Amino acid sequence: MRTSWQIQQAVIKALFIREIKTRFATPLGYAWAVLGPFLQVMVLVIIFSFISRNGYQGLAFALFFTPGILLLNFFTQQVNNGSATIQANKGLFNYKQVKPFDAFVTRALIEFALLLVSSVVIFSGFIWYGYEVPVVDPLTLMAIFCCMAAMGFGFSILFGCISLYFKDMNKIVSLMTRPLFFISCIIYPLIVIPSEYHYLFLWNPLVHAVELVRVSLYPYYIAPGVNIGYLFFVSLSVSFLGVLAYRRHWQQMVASR
Amino acid sequence: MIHMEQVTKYYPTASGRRYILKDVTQTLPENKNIGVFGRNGTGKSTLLKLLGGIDYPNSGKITIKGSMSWPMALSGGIQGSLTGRDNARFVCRVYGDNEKVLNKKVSFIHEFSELDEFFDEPVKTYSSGMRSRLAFAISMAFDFDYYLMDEVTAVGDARFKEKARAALNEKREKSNVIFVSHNIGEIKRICDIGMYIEDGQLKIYDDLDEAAARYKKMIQG
Repeated sequence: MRTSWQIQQAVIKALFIREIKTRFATPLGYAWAVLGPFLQVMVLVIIFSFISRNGYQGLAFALFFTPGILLLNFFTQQVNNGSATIQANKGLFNYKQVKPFDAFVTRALIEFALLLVSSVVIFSGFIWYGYEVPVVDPLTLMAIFCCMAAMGFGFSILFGCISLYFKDMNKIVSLMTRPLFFISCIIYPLIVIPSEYHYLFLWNPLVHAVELVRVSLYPYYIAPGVNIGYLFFVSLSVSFLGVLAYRRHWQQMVASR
Repeated sequence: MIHMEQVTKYYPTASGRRYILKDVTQTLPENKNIGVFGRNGTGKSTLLKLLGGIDYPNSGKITIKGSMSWPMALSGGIQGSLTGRDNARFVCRVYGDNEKVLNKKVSFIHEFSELDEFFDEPVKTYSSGMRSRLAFAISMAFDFDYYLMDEVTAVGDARFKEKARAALNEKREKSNVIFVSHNIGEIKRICDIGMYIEDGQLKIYDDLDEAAARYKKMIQG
């Protein structure tokens, strides 16, 4: 007899291998994980270089945009994974060992690994090019990544549960995630916003995550009002709600066909 | 042993609950191959899913002693974008086989399914007969006390059907089959007893000829 922990490990491993095989069927699949966000950053850099030569707070545009683009991509991908994970793994729930939770864990692991790898590769590229990336606060940096992982995981399960009731949810979700690009301090620092309007931005945990990454990477970067505690609170609540919702809905996910 | 205790299963539909099983308390006969038949939509496939542990009763409890296969059907459990080999490997991994056992099973599946070079092609390029051969071969690589089969042999050619029957007969000493089919002849060749689903109840026919007569009556209306 296998323990349930052994079964879960075997299932996640099997799902992981399968996911990698279908997702990165071509060599470009791997390259795209890094190239995609890099090109996004480059397009922004080109556009913004017409506006200013100085960057923000003395920071080159490339260094400024990259953390935001990477985190936003990870976040939207995880939100979209809510319904996509159930759809893509439906057939595999035919094996009673394979539970939706394993599928969510597998997707989250892969997305998170992609986030880490693309961050390291892109920033290594910048350092090689001659930019300085001092990483002044590596501990906070790690904490932010952990919070993002938990928050992404929680949101993917939550949206997965919602998609059981609203079949058209992914259309609405892609509409909802688009404005995030403009309201999450991806293309401007919070400090350029007059402080009486900060409350319009600071409810958004992505603002905290993005700005805090910049603070922990670069010395002298200033982000007023951001708080790791808030990010921690949101990611804990979201993942808690996600697991709670999962407990109520997992049978529906397995049986929905 | 399979025992159902006050099992109720329904699907919510626009016109109210459609019952598949209604307060069923029954122990299925042991050491018998059971052929399940019934009209389309009476819940034969749902019954197999309930037994296979991938769908759940709305109330009541199903107790199973012994290992149960996954419900083998043409849809579900097989990934179109993966090759036959990768599908086989996936199932072995889910069942926790180590690399050595896995390789042995995969070569068994390759041989049994007679897919030859198609084994390394994506399953979406397969014909339905090839798909069923793969699904059947994968299940034969594992030892279960009960095999749940949902029309999986229906699309194979005559020769593969014969082979499937022989393989099932070989397993017969240790295991049993619960077999869904619309082909009463097929049920007669493989099964010992018949089970008919109607009005949310399970009716068991010890005599397959009797079952066949019931089936005929059903078809005629």
